[in-house]
This record gives sequence, C-alpha cells and structure tokens, in this order.
Amino acid sequence: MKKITLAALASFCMFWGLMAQQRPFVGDTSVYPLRKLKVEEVNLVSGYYHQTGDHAAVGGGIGSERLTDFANQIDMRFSGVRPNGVKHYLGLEFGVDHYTSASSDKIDPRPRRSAATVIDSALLVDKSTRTSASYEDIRVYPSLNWRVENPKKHWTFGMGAAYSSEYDYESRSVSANFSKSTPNANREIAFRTAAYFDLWSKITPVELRPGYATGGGGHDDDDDDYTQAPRNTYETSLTFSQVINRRLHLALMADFAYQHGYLATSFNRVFFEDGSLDNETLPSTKMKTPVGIRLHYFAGDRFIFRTYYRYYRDSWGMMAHTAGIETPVKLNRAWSISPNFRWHRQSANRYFAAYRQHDMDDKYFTSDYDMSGFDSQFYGIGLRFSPVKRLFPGFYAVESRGGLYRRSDGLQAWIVSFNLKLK
Amino acid sequence: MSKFLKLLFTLYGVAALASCQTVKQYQKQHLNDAEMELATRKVEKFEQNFMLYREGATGANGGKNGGGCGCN
Repeated sequence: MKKITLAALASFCMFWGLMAQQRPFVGDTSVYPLRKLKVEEVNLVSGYYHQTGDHAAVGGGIGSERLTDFANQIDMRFSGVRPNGVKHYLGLEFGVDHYTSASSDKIDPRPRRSAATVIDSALLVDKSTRTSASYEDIRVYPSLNWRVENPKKHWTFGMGAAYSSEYDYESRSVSANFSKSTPNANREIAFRTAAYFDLWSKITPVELRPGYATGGGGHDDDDDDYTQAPRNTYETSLTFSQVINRRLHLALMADFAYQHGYLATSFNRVFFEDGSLDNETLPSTKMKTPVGIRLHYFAGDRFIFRTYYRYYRDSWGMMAHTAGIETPVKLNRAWSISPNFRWHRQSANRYFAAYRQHDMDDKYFTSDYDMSGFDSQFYGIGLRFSPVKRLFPGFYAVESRGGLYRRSDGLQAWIVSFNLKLK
Repeated sequence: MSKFLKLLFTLYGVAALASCQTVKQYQKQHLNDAEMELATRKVEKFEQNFMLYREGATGANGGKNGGGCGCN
C-alpha cells in the first residue's frame, strides 16, 4: 500500500513538472536566449609595391615600366548562431589602391589642354614629358559575402557580391560556394563559382584617336566619351582537402575559367615590322584550366613546410609551371619567421611578339611582356607575432612580409605587406 | 605536361590518399596551427594580386582567374 501511494505521488509530481514546460512566445528570452551578431575577426591589410623594367606594353614593348602601388584593405567578419546550432557569417571588405605608372603616362604624353604635338617614337621614351591624367589612378573595391554553416550535417553554403571601380575599368561580380566535409573533418570537398560582368573604357593611344592625324586634339584628358566594351568572366573551382596524418594535409585544386568580350588592353601599342602602329588586338574568347596542389607538413615542434605547385594552360597557347615553398620557423610561442621562394615559368602565348616583330598580316597581336615567355623568381621573408597574452583587447596577431621579384626579361619588383588581425 | 610527370603526380596522389590516417579533433594541434592553413594568408593577398597582373598564368590558388580587373 505504501509502495502504491509513493508511486502515485511520484507520478503526480512527474505530470506536474511536465505542465511547467510552457511554449515560448515572442519576447520571452528565458528559454531561447537571443544571440547577437558578434565581430568574429577584423583584418587590416596594407601593401606597397614598386617595379621597374624596360618593356612597357603602352610603348609597344619598349619604355619604362616604372610603377608604384599602395594598397589598403579592411575586412570584417561577423558571426551569429541560431538556436538550432546553425552558424551564419557575414563578411564585409573594403579596399583602396592608389597607383602611379610611368607607362600609363605614355597613353597620351601631351601636356594637358595644349595644342596637339607631333608624337614620334622618340617621345615615347622622353622622360621630360609632363604628367598626364593617366599617370595615376585610384581603385576602390568593396565586397559583401554571407555564409551559413551547419556543424551537425557538416556543410557550408555561401554567396557574395563585389564591385570594383577605377578610371577605365568597372567590375560587378557575384559568387556562390558550397562545401561538404566528413564528420571528423578529415576530408572536405568545396565548390565555388563566380561571374564577373566588367566594363572597359577603350582608351586608345593618342596617335590612333580620331582627328589626331590632321593635327587635331583628339580626346582631351578630361573626356569621358570613350567606348565602353564589356568583358565577362565565368569561373568555377573545385578543391579537395585531405588529412594524411597528424602532421600532414593536402589540397588539390582545379579551376576552369571562360572569358568573353574585349580581352585586349586598348591603350597598349603594337609596332609592326614596317614601323606602322596599331593598338593591341586579341581574340574575344579565352579559356583557362589551372590545376594545383598544396602540401603542408609540420615537422618536429618548430618547422612547417608549405609547398605549392600549379600547372596552367589556356586557349591562347600559354603553358606555365609555378612552384613555391615557405618554411615558417617558430622561434618561440609568439614569434615565427618565414623565408619563402617561388619560381614560375611560362611560355609566350601565340599572339605575342617583341617590338617591331609583328607581321602585318597578323590578325591578333600583342607586345605585352606579361604574356611573353619568361622565368621569374620571388625571394621573400615574413615575420609573425601572435602572443599568448594579448597586447590589447582584440589583438590577435600582426604579420609582415616582404620580397623581391625578378623576371628574366629584366622586370624587377619589390613588395612589402602588413596584416593586423583582431579577434 | 609530359606523360612521365602526369604519371608521377598520379602515383604520388594515390599513395598519399591511400595512406591517410583517421585523425581525431583532439589530435590536430599541428594541423590546426594558423600557419598550416591550406590557403594563401591575408598578408599574401597583394603578392598574389601583383603576380596576377605581371604573369599570364592565373588561378588554382584561391585568387582571381582574370575577372574583376584589367589583368591577364
């Protein structure tokens, strides 16, 4: 009897407890507390680039390639977690580049708002030319991306949009990506696709502009009536990542890109064998198929080997091999130093020829040495500081990196970059 | 790419994948190091950008493939 009474009492208490579970209503945050969007990470990245060379494409393969670029970018990532555990990330990026270019100055080397002057090949290398509007430019590029991650089902989906604007080039792009990993995250496959809808202002060399041959002024530096030429790029990439063991993992990457539209650079000059002049003319379609592999290995307690190889091929006849190695060495828990080396070899595309080497019968032609055959080497070193105890709230790491780039055609460049990461 | 190189990479890839070990999350202290990330880092971004302009080969590195800029 006593047992029956106790059992009845226990059952009553159980049902009484069930009645206490009330359905949540809007405004009641005690059951499902609202979780605010939080700042996940902020990166401030700056870089300064300087190059010299003697094969300016604007000059038809001759002339100074002196150029400087000061680039800055800030990107912020916010995250939020839904009650069901699904994570959302929102990324905002904003970048500004300022560059000056001695070769761009030669698009129209006449002084501003003056009577037309006779342009001959000597003037293209005249260092006393006054600066024109094309000497410097600013590029602005914001972007927005959103990503959702389901940690229970191990998939991630994202979308993004970006915009870029500089004096003669405007770009609008959209992208989407999806990835799926195994429950232990030892293997992942990721797919990304993007489309760029670009517009290029066809700024031709001054000698080729209407009215120039008869002594007219052609386009003034402030004219905005350049023809707009569309240039679209569609690209997809597939990445497969695999953990090999506790110290080694790799990623295999395969891209495909298709470009359609105006793919030449309108202000690049091309001089033919007979001395006649035209602007760069290239086919209106191009396909690219690069494939690459990354292999990263952590040796001992201090040494990391980051290796990379890429094979590239496109429909314009260019083939290229790129290989790189970086060896971060952890000096202590906070500091690491990273010497790195990159080697690149490419063959010329079938439309390239040097100054005054093009045949008059060529349908497509360029003297842009970026599309010529050459070897290049990049020697760099990086320094990273990420202390266990933060210097100030939010500080996570600061990294600096610099290097020297050399191309076998004589172009040389150096670059210094800086990244401050806040978390 | 020569047939020999293609065969070499294929065999290397198969051997690497076949020897994969199952690594648990608590065993990934080396793999999860910031400098072991299987991607270019933020500080490398501008290096990658200038190479996009100065070389004809692009892609397969997490960066652009020619769209969004007046590059190759």
